[in-house]
Amino acid sequence: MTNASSITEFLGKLIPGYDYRAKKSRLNTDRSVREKLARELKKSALNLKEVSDLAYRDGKRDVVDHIKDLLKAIDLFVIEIEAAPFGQSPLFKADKVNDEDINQMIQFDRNLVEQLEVITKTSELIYDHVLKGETSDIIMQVRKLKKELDVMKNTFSDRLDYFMKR
Amino acid sequence: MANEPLFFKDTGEMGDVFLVAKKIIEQTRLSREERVRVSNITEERLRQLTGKFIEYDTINAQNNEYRIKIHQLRVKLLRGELAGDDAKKALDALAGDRDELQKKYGDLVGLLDTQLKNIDLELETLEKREQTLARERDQYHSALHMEVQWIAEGELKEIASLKETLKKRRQSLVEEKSLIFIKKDELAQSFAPVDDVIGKRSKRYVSVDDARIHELNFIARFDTKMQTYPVKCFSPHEGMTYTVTDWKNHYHYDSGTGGNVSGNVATGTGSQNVPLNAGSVYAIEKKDHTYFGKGKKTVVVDAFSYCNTGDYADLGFDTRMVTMPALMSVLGPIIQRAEEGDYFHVLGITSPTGWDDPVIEWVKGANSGNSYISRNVAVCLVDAGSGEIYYNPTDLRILSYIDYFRPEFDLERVEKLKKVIRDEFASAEYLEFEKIYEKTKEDRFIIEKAFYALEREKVGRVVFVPPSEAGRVGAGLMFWHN
Repeated sequence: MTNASSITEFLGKLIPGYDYRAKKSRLNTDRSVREKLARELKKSALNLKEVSDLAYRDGKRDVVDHIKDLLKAIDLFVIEIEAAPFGQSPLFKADKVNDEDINQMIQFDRNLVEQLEVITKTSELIYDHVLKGETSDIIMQVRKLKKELDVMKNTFSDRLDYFMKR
Repeated sequence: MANEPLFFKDTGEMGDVFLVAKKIIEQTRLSREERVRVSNITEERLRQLTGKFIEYDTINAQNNEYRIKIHQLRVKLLRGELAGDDAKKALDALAGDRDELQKKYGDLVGLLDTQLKNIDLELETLEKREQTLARERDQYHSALHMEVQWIAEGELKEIASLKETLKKRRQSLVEEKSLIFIKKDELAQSFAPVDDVIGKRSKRYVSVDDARIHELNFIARFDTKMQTYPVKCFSPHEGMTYTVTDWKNHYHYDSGTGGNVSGNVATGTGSQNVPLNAGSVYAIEKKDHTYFGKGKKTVVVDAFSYCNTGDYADLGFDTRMVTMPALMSVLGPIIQRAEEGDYFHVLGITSPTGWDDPVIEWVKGANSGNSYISRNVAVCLVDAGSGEIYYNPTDLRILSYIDYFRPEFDLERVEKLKKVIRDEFASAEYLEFEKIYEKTKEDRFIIEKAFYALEREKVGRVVFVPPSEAGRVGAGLMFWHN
């Protein structure tokens, strides 16, 4: 996946109707991307909630606290994603947007989707490991997940900055 | 709150979960991309091939025209409108057309070969990918958990289904290729109908009315036998014999008036009695489940007549025996369908003009290893004129079906044999069962029936001489004078 068209193809498979080229579909594409991000993050949160419930049942308060932090961070991030003021971006108002901008928008989306995939998959793996009783390093994994979420948050902020400053 | 932890037992570490997650995502993506690539390439290549195969229809049309020319030449020759020398000159002129057509068919075969090679290459790539995934799946199995396995297994299933699709496409191309080969063979022997007339090599003359009568006779007798319940049908695939008391799946078919099921184009108007290459089919179907589910054919018993309908329509008679390419053009699609549906198809084919020697050899298997034995198709050929029947006696699957295709009923066979025995008996002191069997090659039960029938008619008496008492007259069943 090196060129823009293959990235668009990749994103098109994950997000139906993905297209920044036409003005009328630009805003919808952005909304679809954000909806996808929020949806997947909620999925991860659900997995982590299950892990937290199991930890609570086994009296692992420290694990519950760490997951609580992470869940709070996910919730805030989901609100940020859903409420982001992208509609005011000049990129959505202009009839024609240059290729460089479009490519940059696509690149941001790709990074976000890739980071999201890792977060979702990792949360699933953590849940599965817990079910198998392999839990001795769970706090470290939860902190790592939190770090990954921060990276994703930064990417999302960069994306917002790029969209608004243009 | 329980004292003993149920889940947080700390039996081990999770390890680098992120790395594993990234690896899974990457592997799945790679595999998906590879699948899409193979699928797209194959689609594209097949589309290109289909484009080139438009030419196939054109070549077939030219082939048809060419065959009409040959047929007309034969008709003119037989009607005496053309001398032998002129016919030879006309054939020489057509040789160029024939060679060109053969070359074109050869080019198409080349195209198919390239496509087959491409598919083989893609299959190889997929197999390598499959092996890598399977290895990784097993690795995860020992180190990680179910989820990873499921992903790898899901992808493996997708690869298996793509491989299956590719194999099916490959099979259809192979079938297409075999049909082209049959056409090439037909072309190679296309001068034979005219050469036969010039060289006066025809052995038999069958009028259109006779051909139609033979056809009607064969189908009617077959139908009567198939509806004399209970009918036993052996299914070699299942290793069992069905006892049928009512046919739920039976139909008749024909090529239409003056049709060209054999590919022989009738150019004349024909008469009402032109043979139609009629057939009768009886099929046994088995359902997937006892009451519901889709019916699947297991055994198909099919009898049909094969004539050069073009000659009957245009000349009112035919002299040509059925040749190998002609038979192959009929059998080819039947074999393909039977193999696709994986059922056992028994065929009884009758020809009023008889069968060419190579055809008989092929079916009977005169040279060992040369006979036709397929898992899905068994063939029995009937010469409607002489009443002779040809099949592979070593193919045990067809033996139980032979009587259904035999042109005579048992009673007729007994009557025929009684006549032979009477003639023999007139000049002999006694008749030995085994000698009659050797001479007539008739089924043993028919000879036995004939012996007892003659005994009832007081022609002689049936005596059994046990081997211990065998002397001058030998042992076994004997027919003695009263």
